[in-house]
Amino acid sequence: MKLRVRHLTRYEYARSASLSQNHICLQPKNTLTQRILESRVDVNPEPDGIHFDSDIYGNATTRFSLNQRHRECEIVVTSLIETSELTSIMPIGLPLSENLNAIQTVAHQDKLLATDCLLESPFIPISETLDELLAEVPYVGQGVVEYANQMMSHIFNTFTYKPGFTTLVTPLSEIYKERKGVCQDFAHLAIGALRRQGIPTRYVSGYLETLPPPGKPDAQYITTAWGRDYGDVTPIKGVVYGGGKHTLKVEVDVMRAGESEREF
Amino acid sequence: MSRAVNNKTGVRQHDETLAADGSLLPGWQMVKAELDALSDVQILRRQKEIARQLRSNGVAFSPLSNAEGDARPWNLDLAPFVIEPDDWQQLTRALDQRARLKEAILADIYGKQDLLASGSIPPAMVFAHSGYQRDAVNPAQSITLPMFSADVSRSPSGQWYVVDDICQYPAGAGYALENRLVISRTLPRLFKAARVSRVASFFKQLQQLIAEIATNDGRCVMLAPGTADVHYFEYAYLAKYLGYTLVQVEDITIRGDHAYLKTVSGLQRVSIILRFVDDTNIDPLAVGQTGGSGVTGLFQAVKAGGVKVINPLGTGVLNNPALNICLPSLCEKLLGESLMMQGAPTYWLGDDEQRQHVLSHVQDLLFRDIDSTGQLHDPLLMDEQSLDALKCNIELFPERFVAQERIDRSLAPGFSGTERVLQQITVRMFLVRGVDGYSTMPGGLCLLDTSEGGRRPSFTSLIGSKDTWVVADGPVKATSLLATPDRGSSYAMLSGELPSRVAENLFWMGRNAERCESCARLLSAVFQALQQHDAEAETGIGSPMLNALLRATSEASGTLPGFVGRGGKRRLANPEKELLSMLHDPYRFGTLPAALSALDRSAATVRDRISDELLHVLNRLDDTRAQLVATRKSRLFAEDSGVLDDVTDQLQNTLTVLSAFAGLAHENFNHGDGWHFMMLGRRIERLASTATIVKTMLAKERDDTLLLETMLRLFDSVMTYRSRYRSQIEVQPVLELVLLDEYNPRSLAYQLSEIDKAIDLLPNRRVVARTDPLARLAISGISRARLANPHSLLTNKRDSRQNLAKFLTVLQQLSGNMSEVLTANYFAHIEAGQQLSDIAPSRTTAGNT
Repeated sequence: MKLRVRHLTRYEYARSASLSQNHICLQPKNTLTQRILESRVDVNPEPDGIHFDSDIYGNATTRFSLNQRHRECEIVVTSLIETSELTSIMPIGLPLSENLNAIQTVAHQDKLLATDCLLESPFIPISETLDELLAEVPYVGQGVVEYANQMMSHIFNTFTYKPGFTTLVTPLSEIYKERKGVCQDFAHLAIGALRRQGIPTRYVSGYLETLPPPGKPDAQYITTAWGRDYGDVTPIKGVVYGGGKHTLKVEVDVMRAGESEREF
Repeated sequence: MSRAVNNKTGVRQHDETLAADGSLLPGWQMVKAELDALSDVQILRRQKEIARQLRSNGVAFSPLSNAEGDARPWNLDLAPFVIEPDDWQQLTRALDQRARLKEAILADIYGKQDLLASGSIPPAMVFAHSGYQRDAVNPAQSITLPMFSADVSRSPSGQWYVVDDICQYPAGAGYALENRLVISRTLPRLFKAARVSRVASFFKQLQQLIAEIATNDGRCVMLAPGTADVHYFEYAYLAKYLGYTLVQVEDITIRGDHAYLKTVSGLQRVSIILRFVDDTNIDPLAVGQTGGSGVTGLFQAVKAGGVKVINPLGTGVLNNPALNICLPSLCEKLLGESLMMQGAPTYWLGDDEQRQHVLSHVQDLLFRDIDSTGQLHDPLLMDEQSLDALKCNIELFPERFVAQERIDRSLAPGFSGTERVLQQITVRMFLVRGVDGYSTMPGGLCLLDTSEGGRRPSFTSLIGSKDTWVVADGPVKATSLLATPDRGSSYAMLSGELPSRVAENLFWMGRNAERCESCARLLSAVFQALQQHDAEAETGIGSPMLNALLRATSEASGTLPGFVGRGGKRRLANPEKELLSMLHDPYRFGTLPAALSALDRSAATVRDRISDELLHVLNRLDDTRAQLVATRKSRLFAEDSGVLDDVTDQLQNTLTVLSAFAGLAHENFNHGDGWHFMMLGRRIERLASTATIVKTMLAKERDDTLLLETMLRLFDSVMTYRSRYRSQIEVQPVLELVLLDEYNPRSLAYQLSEIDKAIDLLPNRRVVARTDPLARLAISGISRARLANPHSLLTNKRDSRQNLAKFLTVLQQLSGNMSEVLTANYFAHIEAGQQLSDIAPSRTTAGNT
């Protein structure tokens, strides 16, 4: 299936900014389950040059700077992705130690990533909080994917989605105590608990088709990037000089690209 | 001989002066004999000389430490530490091997990562270390290790060990250089006779290395922390010695793939950054670096090849003590050699087997976080709570900890006061890459501490250091960077660009120097008037002349309300308390001590650009300030106390040192861009203070001869007046001389004319029209002075007094406006950056068309 994603980010500044430097991680990557057919980044005002690169995890990164005075900045990333049916297949996975042994046989890069994703990371410190969460979902020898699903369901059922309650720096212990947060908080908690249990777990950013049309197959996923936690795959990070207060608008559209696809 | 360390463990530490058979080593014989022969008086004299030299170079204290107790003297022991030629050979060969090995490991970690994938280095050992910079991984480029430093210690058996690897930058190399200069001057005969190898070769080699990788289209800058850092002196000293522009992170900006220095002449390309800052918080856009400050985009610019950083970003990963475990096998594998010198025996707790061993021998071992340098924790000395915390942390993230065996370090002779003692030592050695392999600085920084049982304190809590003498095999050739005309290359000479931040500090140094002078002059005039009080009542408390002077003092120094604001009348009637505050209060804005410390602070930020003589004068000013604060008096006016005489002397002394400062700033300072900014600062400040003083003094009082004479004295123009007018002192000629005479360097008109000239010499002036705001301000100022009509301004009539007040008010504002425009034009490159808040996509919509 082909999906088109349009991701718009718009910054508006109260006063004019003299310089802004930005780093984007929004172009989806080729994976086992998806192929990128087209992808482009448009920035307005025109930057002094856009540089495309990839990071240590193989994610596509883009950076640009605006050296002229500007009051706003609009970044539009459009991609056309072909997803495979593999996305809906969910194996139950191997039990803990077999899983770790199996990882030893995979490619060099993936093996190292797996080691990195067993350790704590900047946004997911190892702490007693994770042990407490683990105790709520005891591991009893099941396959690691199955266990991960149980962990996620548990968080889905016992935590409240509450935008605005947390910020990027709210510690996991507080999210756990209040049992409130947003998607990335829950992802961080789940990842931390799984790592603590000995399951290498990475953070994946991407898009989820939330409202599939009637009669069509189940939800589609698009993977943008992966890393140890949100900090490795931050969609847009930047530093701006001057500009005063800024406001941010984000719009995302995911569309099935059919025969009657409309230009946007 | 007594020991400086009280070793309770009963281990017999190695004595550095003795051979295995207990005889005195040849290299130590002469040194010991000379030091043993010193009398107490001679020891004290030399120690005083060391303190004086350290002080005059600014090393003795962190220059910006104002709060008491913050300033820690850097203690340099009189006795050098001697390394025998054989030992030296062994150390340098082993360290060269270690540096080559570390470089090979570095290349793999940031390149193909084969060693990690194969398990030759456990990947978790590297990934858990904060020095591993994920943004520096780039298989397309080969990362190098230009400089390597290591702390070495000798165990009781006489065996050398590397106890710390220091791979980001050679921390302490500046101290080693400074120690050498001081000790070789303090013990000149012994230094010469002992055939000590020179350390300058290390710095020369570093310059050559930089010259070799330099491209023609950019300069090399030395990036270091600012004046708040305790080691700021070291960086300023090194930058001056090496000849590179000293910059801070906010002075550098990345545009495209290139790095630029923000200077008063715009952005200037930088091709090499010699860094003395950690890379863990250097680029807000890099992974895992959340601080808002730094050089935004540096990692990417390095990756794109637009700028080189030395040592490269990411080299800190080699500091990891856990790597010690892998070194013997990696040395065989990568270099085909066996490892010559071991690191301290280490266990990595990320390995299950090693952890089991360690946990059953907790009491015998020392523990450390892999991110720390030194700072070994001793379970024997920990209370139960901290031991539990350590065990808990080891349980949570074992990868982050190592245990090391105790190395009871060796002892060398030194002094505690005049007493001869044995001190526990560690030597920091510095290596730089040359044509074939690494060469070691022949010397190093010998660190002193009193920690027992093999523990090591952090760099900041050391008790002192020693100069390290490497005995040469043959005759010693002198090398000095300062004495060599060609400096290896002309590269260093490109460094004349003036960073905007430095220009701003020089501007403020000029302003602050003038503020000090103005304040000291006014106070001096006040006290002279008070001294004459006995003879002539007209100058006493409550007299119009003294009141005018006191008001001018408050207005010009900004110590408000003082004698002009609320309660001014009361203070005029009883000025004692306010005057004491002006003289002694270091914490109130505008007082003499506060003005002096402001001068000291602005000078500290540019100390890499100040000549040694000027530094001496700055130290004298600082002494003066300290003395003013320390000799706080409770009364000024007690009969026959002589207090007034003392104060007058102190003020005269301060003025003399300030004149020396002004003179040296004029004569011993390169008259480049920086100098113009400093002089503009002085002129603009003098313009403001002169306008303020004249306005305040003449505004209220009907002028009498005494007042006019005081004013002439304030502006140091009595002689000029006498020689020119040979008459009684009258209003019009006095004011002409003080305000409108362009040939009198203390007059308003002179300041305006100098400002006008100086502005033309500022950078980039040729490209702007004479009509830009700065030029317009300067022209309007000098025109006003030239066109002023003396008859309407300067007579003794009420109208003309009002005209004069208006005239002076305009000039006061002009001074403020100029300062603002200068800041906007030249210093404002430094706009504060802010992180853009970034959130994950919050709204997702699906659609099908």
